[in-house]
Amino acid sequence: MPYTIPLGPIHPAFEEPYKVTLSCKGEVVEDCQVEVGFVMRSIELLAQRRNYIRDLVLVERVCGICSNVHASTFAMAVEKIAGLEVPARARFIRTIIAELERLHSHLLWAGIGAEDIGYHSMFMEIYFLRERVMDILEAISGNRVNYGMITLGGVTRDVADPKSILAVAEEVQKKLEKVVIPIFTKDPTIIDRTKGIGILTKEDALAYGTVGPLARASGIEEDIRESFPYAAYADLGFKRITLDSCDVMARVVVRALEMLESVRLIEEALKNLPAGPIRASDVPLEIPAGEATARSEAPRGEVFYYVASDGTDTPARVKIRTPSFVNIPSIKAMIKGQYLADMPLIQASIDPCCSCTDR
Amino acid sequence: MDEVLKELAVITGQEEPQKKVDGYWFTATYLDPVAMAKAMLKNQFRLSTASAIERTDNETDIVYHFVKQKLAINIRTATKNQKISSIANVLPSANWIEREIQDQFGVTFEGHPDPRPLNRPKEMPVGFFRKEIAEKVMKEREAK
Repeated sequence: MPYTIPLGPIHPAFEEPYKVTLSCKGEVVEDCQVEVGFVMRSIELLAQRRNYIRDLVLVERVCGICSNVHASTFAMAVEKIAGLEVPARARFIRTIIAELERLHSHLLWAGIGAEDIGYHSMFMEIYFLRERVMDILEAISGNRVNYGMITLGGVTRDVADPKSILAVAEEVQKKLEKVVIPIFTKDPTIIDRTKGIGILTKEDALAYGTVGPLARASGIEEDIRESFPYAAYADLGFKRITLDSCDVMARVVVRALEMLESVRLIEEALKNLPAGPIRASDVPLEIPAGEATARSEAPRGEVFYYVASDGTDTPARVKIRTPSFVNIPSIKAMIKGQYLADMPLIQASIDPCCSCTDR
Repeated sequence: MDEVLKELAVITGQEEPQKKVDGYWFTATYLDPVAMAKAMLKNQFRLSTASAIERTDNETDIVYHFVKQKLAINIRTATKNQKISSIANVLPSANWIEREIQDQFGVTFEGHPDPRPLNRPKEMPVGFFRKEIAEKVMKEREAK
């Protein structure tokens, strides 16, 4: 006789509320129901009542971890409608901030993952490293969570001292190569807890429409930075990381290797930072009528914005699709036949963000 | 790539899609969403999302956004009497997307396998993203 166990809304693995109702047979999970919507704020509706500049501030608050990517994707959609050209220096600075954000998000995830596995000393190491990345973000923008760097047609602040940032980037790279990646790929404790757990087949990954590191760990060769290059990714070159073992281990390794690629992109962008203005000079307050979609690769996968303008200074429609909104339902495909004790880790492996999902 | 566009031309009844900076745009006055979903699944497209846009005639525009590598296809259609066929049986990725549109715009997706509310707060009426209902709710709250 199967019985049900509620996991959440106050969740054993996360700070954020969502509920998974598991039906189990003994220690083995047979099926689940996922419920979200505990922190719904109707940001889409609010965005349709504010002007474009105030919206930039608002959409940055969709997520507390990948805040910058929301502002930049919204700006990209509006820039497409208005036909605005972003200056080269601004494109490079947008790339630097986006990659720093990915780095701190992946490190945050790696720390939580290590803690879920039961590896507390690793958690400490990773959070110390993450603090260095946060220091760079604070040095550039003055903020630690919502950076306020993006504006229509460019960025709000310049990168004043690339040399000091390069030094920290080098330090992060060394620590990643010496500590984080070897432990995540070779440590027997980590391998025992992650290998062959939470399989998401390529077919399921496509049918559920999963994105980001989760999809790339299931052999889907897709990265928005490569397929729809934005900011300065076309200039800097980009190496996509794909694995096909489809388990939690693959998701760990994809994220770990992506961090190295992020460091390389940051260094490359800082070394080749072009001179010139940081924002376009003739940005209108009223955006011409039209509609556009924009995509970018957030730390968790593809962020999608649809913006429609009716020619005023307020958007007629803003649609936000966050990566966790498509990644969370795929839990259903991952947990069948898995042990109850692995549930927190399997759910942590998709790096869910409920604040994004509910918006 | 061309084959997909040809297939979609038959399904949507629009021979030449509009080509914009963000991909191809089809507009279909009559669309069989299930046939569209099957064609896109067969060609290994991923459903990014579907956007709902309120129309002035009490109907809702639905724009399906598909993507495969560098190719983005947007297909726009409209509901009839606020109803449209569900594609969640073909594409599981549409399940939550349709539930959310149902909550926010009051569209009924016929044949949806699990049409419970997704993230609508209990005190909000169905379709609370529609202008009329949103304003009404806001006035009620201000009065309190």
